[in-house]
Amino acid sequence: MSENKKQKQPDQNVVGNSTARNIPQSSRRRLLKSTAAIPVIMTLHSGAAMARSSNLAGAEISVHEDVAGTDSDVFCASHEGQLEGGAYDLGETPSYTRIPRQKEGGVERTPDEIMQACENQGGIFISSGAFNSIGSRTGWTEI
Amino acid sequence: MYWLSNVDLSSLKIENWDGEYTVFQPESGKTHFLNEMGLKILLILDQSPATLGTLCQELSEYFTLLPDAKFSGQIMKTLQRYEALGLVSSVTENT
Amino acid sequence: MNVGQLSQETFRTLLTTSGLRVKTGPFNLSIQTRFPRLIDQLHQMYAHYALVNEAEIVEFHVRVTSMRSIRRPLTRLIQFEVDGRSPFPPVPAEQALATLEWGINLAIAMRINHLLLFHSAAVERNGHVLLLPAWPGSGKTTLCTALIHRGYRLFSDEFGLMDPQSSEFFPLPRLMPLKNQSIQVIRDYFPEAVLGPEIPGTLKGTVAHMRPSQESIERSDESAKARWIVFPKWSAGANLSLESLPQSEAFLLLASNAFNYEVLGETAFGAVTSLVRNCECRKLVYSDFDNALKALDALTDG
Repeated sequence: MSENKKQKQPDQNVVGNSTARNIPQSSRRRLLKSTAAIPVIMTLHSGAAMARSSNLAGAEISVHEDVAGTDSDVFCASHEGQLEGGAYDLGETPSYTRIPRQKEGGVERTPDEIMQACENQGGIFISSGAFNSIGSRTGWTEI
Repeated sequence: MYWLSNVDLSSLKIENWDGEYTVFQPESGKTHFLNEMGLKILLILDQSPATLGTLCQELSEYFTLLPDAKFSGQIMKTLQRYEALGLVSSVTENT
Repeated sequence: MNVGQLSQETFRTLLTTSGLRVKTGPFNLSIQTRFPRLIDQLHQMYAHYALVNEAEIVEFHVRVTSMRSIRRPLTRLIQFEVDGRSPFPPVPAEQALATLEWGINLAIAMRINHLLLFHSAAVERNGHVLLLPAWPGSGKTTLCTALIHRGYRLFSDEFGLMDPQSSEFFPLPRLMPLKNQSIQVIRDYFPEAVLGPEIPGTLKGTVAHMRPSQESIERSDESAKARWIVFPKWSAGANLSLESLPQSEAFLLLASNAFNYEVLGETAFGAVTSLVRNCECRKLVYSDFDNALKALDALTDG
C-alpha cells in the first residue's frame, strides 16, 4: 500500500486546523495524539461506498506519457456523465477499452487517431495516477 | 444559540483505543474516529444542552487550556460538523 | 475426486457442456468455456481442486466465451461472464486465464456479504492466521507466495474471509497472480513453484499465476482465528523494520480496507474491533525477502 493511497481512505473529515484528506499518516498520528487542544473527528469511508462516491476523474486532453495505459495500449475509460465541476463519473465498476497504439500491420496510430477512437466510444482518457487510484479503491484492476 | 445532543449517546457504539475512540453511529451506518476532546463535546452535550461559551468553558477546564477566540472557532467548527452528521442540533433561543 | 483425476477428455466435456463444478474454499464454482487454450491451462492449474456433485449448490456460474470484434477483426477476443453478466470489456484471448481469475475474485468481492471481506493475504502458522492487508503494489501476493513456500498454509493471497460472529477465518486458496518482476523473483527463489503461462499486456502488466499447494486446497475446510496483522510495504533498499502499530491505526486501516465494511455496518464495526483487540498489529517495511521471512517467523513462532 503506498502511503498516498492509504491516506486517502479515512481522512474524510477532520475538524480543527487540519484539512480534509491527504493528511500523511505520521501527521495524522501527531494530530490525534498530541493535540488534545483541538477536537478531532474523522469519518471513515471504505470499500464500496468510497468506490461509488469517488470514481470521479478528470479527462486528459492529450495522449501524453502519463495517460493510463501500457507500452502497447492506451486505456479509454467509459463514463456515466460529466458533473458540473467538470469531473467524469466512471460509475460503480469502471470499465476500460484498450486502444492499441498501433493499427493492424504495425502502423503507429497518431495521438489524434487514438483520441478519436476513444471519443467514438464515448470514453475519456485518464491519467495513470487516476487509473491506479480508482483501480485500487474499486479493486477493479487487482481483482 | 445553544447546542444539544441529537442522539442518545448509549445508542452509539464507542470503543476506547487508549484515548482515541472509534464510534459507530447506527442511524447513519457511519464510523467516526474521535480524539479525547471530540468525544468530550458529545459527553457534555449528552448531559445537558450548552451554549458555545459554556461548552468552551467546560472543555478548557477539563483539558486545562486557556480558551481564546481561535479555540472557540475550532469548537464551533466541530459542532457544525457534528450537526451535519446528525449527532447534535443547534437551537436559537428567541425562536 | 479432484480435477486432476479427470481424463483430459472428461474435463473438456464438462467445461464445454454443463460446466466444471469445483469447490474453492467455502464457495462452489461452475466454469464453462470452449476456449481450447484455457481448457488446457485449467487442467493443470486447477488439478488439486475437489469436484462438486450435482446435488450441491453452486454460488457462482462463470463462463469465458470467444468473440470477434468488428473494430479489431484480426484479434481474437474473449468475454468473461458471471451469471450471464459481463463486468469487463472483451480482452485478447491470450488473457483468458487472468480474466477468469480476476472475474471470479470480482464476483466474490461484490456478492459475498455474510462474511467480512478484507482485501488481504492470509496465511496460517501454528494454528493461527497471519493477515497481510495491503493495496495493490505493496507486494502482498509476492510475500504471501514466499511465506507458503516456507511452510505457512495458504488461506488466500487476496481475501481475508472472516465470519463476523465467530471471528473464524476461512481459507480460499486460489491461483495467485504474480506480476511483472515478481514472476522472475519467485521463479529464482522457489524453482519448485508451479506457475502458469506468462500473460503479457494485462491491465496489471505481465501476469503469471502460481498454483496453490495440494495441501492448502485439501485443508481448505480448516478455519482458524487471526492472531497477527502485519501491514507490509516493500520499499527498494529499505532496512527491515517490523514495528508495532497502534490498535486504533490498525482499526482504521482494516475497516477502510474491507470490501463490505459499510454493507455490514454495526456487525463489521464489532468484528473489526474484536479482530484488532485480539491480534498483534505490526507494520512491516522490507526490501529483502529473507529478512522479512525471518522477522515474520519470529513473530509467529510463539
